[in-house]
Amino acid sequence: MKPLHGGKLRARRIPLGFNKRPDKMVRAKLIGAALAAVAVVAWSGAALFQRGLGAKRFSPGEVAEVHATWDAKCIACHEPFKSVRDGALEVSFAGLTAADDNRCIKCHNGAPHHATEIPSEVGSCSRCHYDHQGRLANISRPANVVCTSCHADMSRHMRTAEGFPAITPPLAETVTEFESDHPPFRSISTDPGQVRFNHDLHMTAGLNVGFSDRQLASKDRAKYEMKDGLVQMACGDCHGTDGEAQDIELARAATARSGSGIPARFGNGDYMVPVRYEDHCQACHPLSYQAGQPLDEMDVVPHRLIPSEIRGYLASVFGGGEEVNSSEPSEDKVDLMAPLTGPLGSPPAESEYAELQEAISGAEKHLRNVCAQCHILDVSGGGAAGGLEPVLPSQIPEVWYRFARFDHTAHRAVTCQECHADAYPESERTSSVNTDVMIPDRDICLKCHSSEGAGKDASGASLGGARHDCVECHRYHGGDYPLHGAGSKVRSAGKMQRVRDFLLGAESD
Amino acid sequence: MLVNRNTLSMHSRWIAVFVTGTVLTMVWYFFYASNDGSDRWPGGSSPPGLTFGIVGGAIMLFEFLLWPKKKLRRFRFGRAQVWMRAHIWLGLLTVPLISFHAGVDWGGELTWILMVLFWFVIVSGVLGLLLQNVLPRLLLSDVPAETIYSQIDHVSSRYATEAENVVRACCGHPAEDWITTGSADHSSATAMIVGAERTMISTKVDFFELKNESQANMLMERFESHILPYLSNGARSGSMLRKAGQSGLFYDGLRTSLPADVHPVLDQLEEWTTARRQFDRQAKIHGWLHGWLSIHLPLSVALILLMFVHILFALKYR
Repeated sequence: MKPLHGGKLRARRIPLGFNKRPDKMVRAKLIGAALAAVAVVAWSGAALFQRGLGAKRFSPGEVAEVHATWDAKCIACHEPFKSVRDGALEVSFAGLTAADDNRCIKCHNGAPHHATEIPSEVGSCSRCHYDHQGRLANISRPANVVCTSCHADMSRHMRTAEGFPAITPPLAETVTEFESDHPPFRSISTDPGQVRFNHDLHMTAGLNVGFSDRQLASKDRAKYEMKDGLVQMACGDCHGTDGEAQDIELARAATARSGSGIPARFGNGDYMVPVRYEDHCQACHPLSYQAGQPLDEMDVVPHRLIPSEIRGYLASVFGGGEEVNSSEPSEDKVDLMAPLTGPLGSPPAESEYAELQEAISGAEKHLRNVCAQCHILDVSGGGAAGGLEPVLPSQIPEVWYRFARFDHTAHRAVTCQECHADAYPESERTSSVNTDVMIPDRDICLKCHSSEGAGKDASGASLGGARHDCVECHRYHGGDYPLHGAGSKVRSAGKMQRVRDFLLGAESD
Repeated sequence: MLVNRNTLSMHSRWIAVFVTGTVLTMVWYFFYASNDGSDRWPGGSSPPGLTFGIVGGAIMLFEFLLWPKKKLRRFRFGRAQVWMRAHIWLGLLTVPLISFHAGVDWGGELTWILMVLFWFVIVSGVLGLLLQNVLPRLLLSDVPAETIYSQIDHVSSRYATEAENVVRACCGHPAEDWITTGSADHSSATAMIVGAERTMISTKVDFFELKNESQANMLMERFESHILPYLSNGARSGSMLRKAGQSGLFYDGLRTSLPADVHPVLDQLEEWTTARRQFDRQAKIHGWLHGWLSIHLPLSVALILLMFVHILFALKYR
């Protein structure tokens, strides 16, 4: 038997031209390739001509939530065939032009950083704000390098009319990281406040004088906690965030008084509202003008009156005018702008006048001590005409960190003592005078706001881990007005639009 | 394309290109990323990302040209081996290039599809390379009767025809084109089988015509129920002959039942059966050896087309 598998023998079994027709494997490849091509063309065509969400298919990633409306409207932000980044490779090396920021500015008029910035160093919006990083990306949180490209070498990136100024403390020539070379907070170097206040005294049970609830008017007794029968004050008795402002008028008045420029964002609780006499002081420090009155029937003068107004008020009371006998004086009951009426309208007899003057003087003498307990009297003018000196303005900063932002609400789970230890009597450096600054400096912040494990507490335990990048505290835009919020005029939209134009982006141009 | 110890020297230059390219790519990318200071990996618009995208895209286009190069082999655009080596090692170099171009991210829908396609193409290519290094040796050792894959059915049908002629002649019903030589009493003769379309097959079979009718019927019955279906359709027939062990038992049984004079015929039938079994094996190995291309090529087509869509949109909205 001859072998079956000889090459020649096998070859003779194969018809000539067998290779003219592709086998099934080759056919499968060709059919697969054709189907793939058709699928790509169909997919791309469907995406191109699909109204609404078609363009989204070609997007390199979802835009952030705040831009989700324009996810499928590329030209709302992009100018065709122009890079949105002025730092892009082809812009840098090929000399192609980048798009301007007009499409961003239509909605976000990003204010200049500082008046001293060098314009040529200021990049386009997208140099710092990358989008297409997904719905949950925070595109307003650029990396530190964006800031340190200048702040690591400040003297070369800051220019005034006189040229490049020398960087002197408290400004720092080099800042690269919060946890390494950030300078101490310059806005807490001194306390400009002019109200006498002793935190040590107020935070001690009984205020060091055995102060008990019996020394409070009955309506105020529930306000304070008691410890061993003595009043024990807590931080919250005087300090509360704007998140607690239940009365819009109250909150508005507080903001107006502060003159800080903080936008009216009542309810967020970022900042502490200023201490208000009627809410936080009056229970223990009633403005009585007569000694020896029972607590619940005490006659008091309204707060925030200037000496002449106090004199008028007392004249009104002692002269038989409208009786004011309330421990709850309110501005409703005294119209400070209205002319004084009543007894002053019809001059009293001489004996009555002398008697009235004596009563007023006695009351003013009493009030002088009451006022001076907290306020510093301005004796520079030799005393007011009525005998009472004006008091110096309180000047208690409403916002301490003037070059950064702080959110008390974000820190609500941490005890006040962790950051304001000197306000407590237990502290070795407990504060007894109003000039002590008890606002935490960088070292306190670093306990949490540093690399994980880098922060240490007093016992040496490793802390840290909280965010500590530049934008955690600092805003870039409007750097000369760091407390301006997103609602400030310098950040308003570059172009006011109708809803349709706003939603359609540049398509409606 | 074999990549083994013996052929390593032929690949050494391309391996150097791949390793150097990968190292340079990584050094530039990670250096840029560390100095960029961003908390995200540099993407396609960054200087290294865009460069990698351009280079990676050009390589992918070159890789794809292997297909038209094979189709147009008569024009001789360089040596096929050089093309294949470049295809393998430059193709692997696109992995770091494209990964870094993408910023180690999947991006949106189009880029996600591109990345999936890219990885399928790479994985299928590597799989194909591995198969090409293993299966040909298997084919040499397991399939000595190897024929052209596309002609397996044709050759098998010829075997079936020849086998049928032999068996019919042996059972006393020779076909019309049956040519015998030797003694006229038909007790022993040599047949020349006419089978192939274009020429006479020179296979010669010593056969003996069975006089015993029951034996002839049995042979014919076994042939028609088992041997013929298997020779014609192979493993698709479901016949027991597709397994070597059972096939041996089957033919041993026939040899026991039939006189020794018929054994050369049975030997011939068994050899054709063995050849058919090898064809089955060859078809299976061939499927693995070339089947990956049925995935690799269509996905490559889709990848290249979508790459141009990506380039267009990346240029328009960048």
